[in-house]
Amino acid sequence: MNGFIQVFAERQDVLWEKVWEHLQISIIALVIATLISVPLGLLLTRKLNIAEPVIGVTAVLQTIPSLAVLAFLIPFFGIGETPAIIALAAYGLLPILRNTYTGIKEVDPALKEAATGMGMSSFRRLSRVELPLAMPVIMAGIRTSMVLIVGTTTIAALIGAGGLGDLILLGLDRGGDANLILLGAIPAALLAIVLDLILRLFERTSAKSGFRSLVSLLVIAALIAVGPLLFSSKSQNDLVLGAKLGSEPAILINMYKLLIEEETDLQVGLKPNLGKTDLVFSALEEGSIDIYPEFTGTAIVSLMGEQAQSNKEQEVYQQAAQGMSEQYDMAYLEPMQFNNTYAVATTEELAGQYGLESIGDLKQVEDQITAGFTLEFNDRQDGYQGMKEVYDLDLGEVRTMDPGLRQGAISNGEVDIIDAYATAGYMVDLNLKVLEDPENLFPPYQGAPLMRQETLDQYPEIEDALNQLGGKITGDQMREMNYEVDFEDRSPETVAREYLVEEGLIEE
Amino acid sequence: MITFTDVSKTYPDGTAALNNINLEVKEGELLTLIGPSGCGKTTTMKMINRLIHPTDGTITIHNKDIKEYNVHELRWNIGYVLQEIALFPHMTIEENIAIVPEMKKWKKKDVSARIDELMQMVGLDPEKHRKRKPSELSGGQQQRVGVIRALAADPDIILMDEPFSALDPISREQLQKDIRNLQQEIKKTIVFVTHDMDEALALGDRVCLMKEGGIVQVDTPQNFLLHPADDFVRDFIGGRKSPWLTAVDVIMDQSGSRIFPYHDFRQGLIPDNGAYVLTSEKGVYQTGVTDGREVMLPVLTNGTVLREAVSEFEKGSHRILPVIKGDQLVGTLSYKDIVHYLKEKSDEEQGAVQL
Repeated sequence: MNGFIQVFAERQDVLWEKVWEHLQISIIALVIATLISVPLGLLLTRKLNIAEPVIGVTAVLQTIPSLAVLAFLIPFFGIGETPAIIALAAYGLLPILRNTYTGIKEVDPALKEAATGMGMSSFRRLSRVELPLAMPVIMAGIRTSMVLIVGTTTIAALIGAGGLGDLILLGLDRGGDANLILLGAIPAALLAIVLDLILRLFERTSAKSGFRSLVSLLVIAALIAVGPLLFSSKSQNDLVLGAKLGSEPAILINMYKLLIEEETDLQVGLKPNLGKTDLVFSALEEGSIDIYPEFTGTAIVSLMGEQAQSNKEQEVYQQAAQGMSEQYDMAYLEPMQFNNTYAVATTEELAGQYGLESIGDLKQVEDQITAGFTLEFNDRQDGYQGMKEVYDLDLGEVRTMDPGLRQGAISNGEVDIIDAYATAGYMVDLNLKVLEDPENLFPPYQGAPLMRQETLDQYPEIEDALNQLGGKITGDQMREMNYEVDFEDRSPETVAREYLVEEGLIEE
Repeated sequence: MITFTDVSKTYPDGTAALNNINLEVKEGELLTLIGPSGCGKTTTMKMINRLIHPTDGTITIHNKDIKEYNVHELRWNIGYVLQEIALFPHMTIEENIAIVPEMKKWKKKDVSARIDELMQMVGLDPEKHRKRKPSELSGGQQQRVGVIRALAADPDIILMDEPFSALDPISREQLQKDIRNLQQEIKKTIVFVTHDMDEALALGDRVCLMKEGGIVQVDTPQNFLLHPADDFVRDFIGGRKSPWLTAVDVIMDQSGSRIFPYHDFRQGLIPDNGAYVLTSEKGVYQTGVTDGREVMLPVLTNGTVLREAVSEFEKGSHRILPVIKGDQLVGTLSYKDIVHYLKEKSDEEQGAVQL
């Protein structure tokens, strides 16, 4: 509890900013969902034969996992708030649509007949009789959607939309830091409760005034959400650097930014914590971001769909650079020194007990140990699938889990070995032992800036600026920097600046 | 005024609701439509305001095909009272009443005055009830509002679809009385659907009995009782009707043998003994005469049922009472007429007088 209060006090400024972003995205999405669903629902009550298919379509939209919708939208809308709002609005359609349709349909038929028999036109009947009577049901639908949207908005952080999800993701990335996760989750829940209360107030008045209160509600919401956007003009950046979720990519893009701004006149914007490889690479292709640090091994296996043809770092880089250029017309600058390859790690204690030095040594205890692997590692040829073949292993139990949860699992003894990234900060913190890979199963994973060729053609000066990092940063240095960000709570920018100053790459 | 010519209704699934109906509703009359359920009485009524469209035939109002009217304007001029009452629960009483006047773009002031007038007419205090919601009123009060809502924009025609069937017996009786009085005041053309034969006979200037989508008999209540067209009509009436609930205009003496013009009495042209009733030249009841002396007599309206008429006789010592409809004297009722009628009824029922 004390920990939580401390985190709250430290991050209060960020919190309010995130709450505001969260509110903004949620409300815009809700307004759009309402503006689509209510009129559509009304239309459906007049065209009964197409009602069920249309409602079915919105139901399908709802069954698609929200992350998948986000990923699907990136090629069209890039990253940031726009695709997030589109996905969230699509998500919120069903409850409003269904309740509008049902609410209107279930108005007492005698009342409808009375209205018709008294000579009301279809529109007048709708606005004076059916809508006011269906209003509580419609508002209930809007409230359901609101809760759905406010909750799902946390996932939008993965595509750089901001909001409270940023805090939750950060918490997850730092090995399930409960305080950080709560700092994101509790305000999100409170936000849902407060908005629900406001909507309930409107629901009361809506029973009387019907149409008008719905319209005024939408106008007020739209003003709250869009108003600030009209006044804040975003500064234009020449380049936007993206980064995957985590401290290491965040530190690297801060270094890129500092170097580019030192050496050239370009303005650089940052979009850290963008989720996983697929999302970030889609954003790069689409143009929402211009550069991001990618690992050579990942480029070959995930992006090019090939296997590394060598285990030598330089050859792997050559293969990746050539493939990215040929397949995607992308430029891949010089890699840094550290190799953040997959590693299989265990505790010093267990290693001492069984004399574990290399991955092959696991064979003798394969039935007794439990492994905690990421989904991705578990499935990859240069991951557990390869381990089974190359080292002839068949581990007794493998649990798949989110990357951020592995360190917690091994530190409290739930699992005995984990897959790890060689430079991860927690390797230092938990004093883990990396098992050697004498067969070179894991290809080198060296970080290097990846960008579209056209970006490089447009700003050729960035090549020299970024290549200053080529061959720099050892594994130990990277690990130490990650540790400082993850466990000492220093900002990636400060850590990046300190390193560059120390290396004499920029002025203090 | 409303004329059905060869009207039929067949639903898409092939069921025939109406077969070749021909019917004329006269200006200012209250026509009750009655028959067993499924006979087509409600269908017939709902065709008048175009809630149901005939598959064949034409319906005219004022000699103009109803299809040629703008459907909304047609409905604004046809009041509609529903069985379910169907007041809009989210509107106040005054808002409910104001619906059609507002659509007809009446001035606010006129609408407000009209609301007061109508509410007073049915005994609802405007001060107290105007701003209330329908749910705060009793069932009887709600249907009163339902009736005046239909009257609000002063329509020529009013359709009533079993308006009192959902009410308790006391409210129903009261509202029937109100409708009868109202009809005498406002003289609207009313088409009134009911499944209650007593109600049909008591309220209707004429009654239209339907069966299986066709009309069996259209006639005055008296003729229904005196000259039923066939066994179906006889069963339909007989099975439901206690003679004590018969309206006096069925029982009364319509021959006029006991009615004399007032000026004949002044000129001494009527017998010295016996009881008689005097009228003006315009047929308005004036006074009674017993054994040559003028007497004030209680007046029976035509819908009064026999039981009430008898208690009226018991209160005084009159031998004869006048029966009026509107302001017209339509007949006289004496003990002799009553006994004659009850005897006839008892014969029909094999000697058992139903109570």
